[in-house]
Amino acid sequence: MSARRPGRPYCAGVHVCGVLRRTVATLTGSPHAGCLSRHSCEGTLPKNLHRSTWRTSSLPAAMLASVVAVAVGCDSDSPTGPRSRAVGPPRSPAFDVASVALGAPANTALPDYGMPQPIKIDYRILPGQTVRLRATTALQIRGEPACGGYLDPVTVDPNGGWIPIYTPPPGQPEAEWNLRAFLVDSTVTVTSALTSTIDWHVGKQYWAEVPGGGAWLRYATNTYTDRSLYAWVGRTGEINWDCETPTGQVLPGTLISGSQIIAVEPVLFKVNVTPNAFGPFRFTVETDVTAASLSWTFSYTAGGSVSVTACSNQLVCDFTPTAKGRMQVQLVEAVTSTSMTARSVEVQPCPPPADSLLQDKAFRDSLNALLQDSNPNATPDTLRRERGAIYLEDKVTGERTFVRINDPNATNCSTNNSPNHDFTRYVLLATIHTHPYTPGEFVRFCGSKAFNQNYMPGSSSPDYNGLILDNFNYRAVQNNRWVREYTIDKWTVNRTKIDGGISDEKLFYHSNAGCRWYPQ
Amino acid sequence: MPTRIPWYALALVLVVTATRASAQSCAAQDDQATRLRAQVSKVVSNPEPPWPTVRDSTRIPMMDASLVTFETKATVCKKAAEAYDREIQRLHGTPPTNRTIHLLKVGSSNYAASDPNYYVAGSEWGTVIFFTSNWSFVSAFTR
Repeated sequence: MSARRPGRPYCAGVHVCGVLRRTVATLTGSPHAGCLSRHSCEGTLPKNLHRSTWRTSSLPAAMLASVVAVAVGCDSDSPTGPRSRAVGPPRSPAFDVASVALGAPANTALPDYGMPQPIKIDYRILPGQTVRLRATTALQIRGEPACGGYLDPVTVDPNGGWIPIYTPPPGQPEAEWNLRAFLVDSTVTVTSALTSTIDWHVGKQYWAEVPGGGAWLRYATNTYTDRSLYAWVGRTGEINWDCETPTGQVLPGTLISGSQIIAVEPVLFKVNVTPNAFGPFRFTVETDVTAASLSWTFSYTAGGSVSVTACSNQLVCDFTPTAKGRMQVQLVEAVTSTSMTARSVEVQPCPPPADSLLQDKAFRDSLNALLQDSNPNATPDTLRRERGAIYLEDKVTGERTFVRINDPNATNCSTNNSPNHDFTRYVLLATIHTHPYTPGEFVRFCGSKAFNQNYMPGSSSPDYNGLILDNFNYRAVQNNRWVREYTIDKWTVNRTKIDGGISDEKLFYHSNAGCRWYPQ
Repeated sequence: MPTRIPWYALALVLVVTATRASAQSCAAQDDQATRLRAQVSKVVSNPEPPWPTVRDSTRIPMMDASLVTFETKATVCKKAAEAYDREIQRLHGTPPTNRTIHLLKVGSSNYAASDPNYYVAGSEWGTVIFFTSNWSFVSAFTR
């Protein structure tokens, strides 16, 4: 991030733009629209430079460069003079050139003369937020906060890139930003162009502003109502600092037509975590910047933190906290060395389930997939389907297999296919089926039948008593032993008692504490 | 000569009939009844998720599990069975039926009734209905 320097004040006059201002004010509904700033003009630019020195090649280049940097913030004192930096809401590029009284013949070859072009922006700068500008062409961008200092110019990569700009830290909401984007020609820079009456016009200046607050990209309060950013597109040959183009003068250079796109966006940098019941949580960094380094720190809610060195410079980190806490990631951006911090959501490690099968992540994942296949969030809920499965163990190899039972007639509250497997080879470890509902959720229909009652988590009676021939447990009863019967709803996993007891055991649940494994 | 039936024989017939009538309203306390009591007890007393959510849906206040007890009085079971069938007709659009039910007293002012042999066609779920003490409908749940 560029440093703020105590600044050379610049001219940021309160002058208005005559008819244009009124037009803009009308269009925007803001009395300040059309002004470059409400701040007083403290510029050091001599008045006579406005018109008389733009051709002067003897003017020191550095001074001229400074002048350009300064003068783009100035409005003309001339009440009738053209406003090549005219600002305000975007206008159609196809405006009537002749209507712009520039004192110069309209040049139909340059239909975009002197008019503001829209630059798209869809972002609001908030205190403490890291913001950057992304340009689609080579731009040099300067920022000047509240007439008191400015950012060192930063040149964006010709192919586009990111530039960090300073934003007020939390607790310091008052700031005003004047962002200036200079189009930098790849062969003739703004600075060198200033030494020539021809070349320095190649440097086109863009103005960025937020209407409603003046002609600046202004951050002063949190009450933006219009977050559009407009930019100025100057015509080749235009003298930007005094807002006029010499009569009849057409200067060579690259014509800029149409709008350039400058997007102001928050830096994407966040840490996501995949919920898990117990064991390692998987944290992943999501960012669109190139990281020079990444460091991971887990802070426990009860106090203390752990530096997860094993995850250093990794975008994915598997970490098993011993208690509730939050993962924090520090990233240093490769290009700008900007340091950013992101935090994941708070995580709550869960104790391992007492159920031995559920300790197997593959089994849990299979349960989760089965639930997802039940379409548990579908509306109307009659589009949901109970799904069934069995869990088998090969008597010879010991390999365990999760086998789905496809019932084409399954409804939102029943599935009736019996497993048809070779139980001489396999041991039936468990039967599973889903109840695609949230505990307490109202079930209006079962299939096509009116139901009108709420869902209670756990197994239904047929799951227990095995009285229905196609009940999963029936197979177990046939083998003269009980197997685990799991029912999964959107919050809980329940299991009938292994000894055939008459109540469910709730094994996992979704709670506000975050103890869960499937993301419902 | 007409056969005279002794008065005690008539009394016996009446007693047997009355007993059968009550049996038609209250089902035996089998495993399903025990499970129903365990379920309802969990709903009204368990403070852990998801039971508070379920309890809110039942509109039954939280209470100690010991306040969930079997109700076996024949007259009460009869009224409960009638109320249960009335609500099943309303909820599911079924025709009137004589039912035998499991009945629980839930605290001092509610009942929970369930017909262990009744399932909505095509469903694996039975129905538990909570009533007030004067047999007004409170809520219905899967079983």
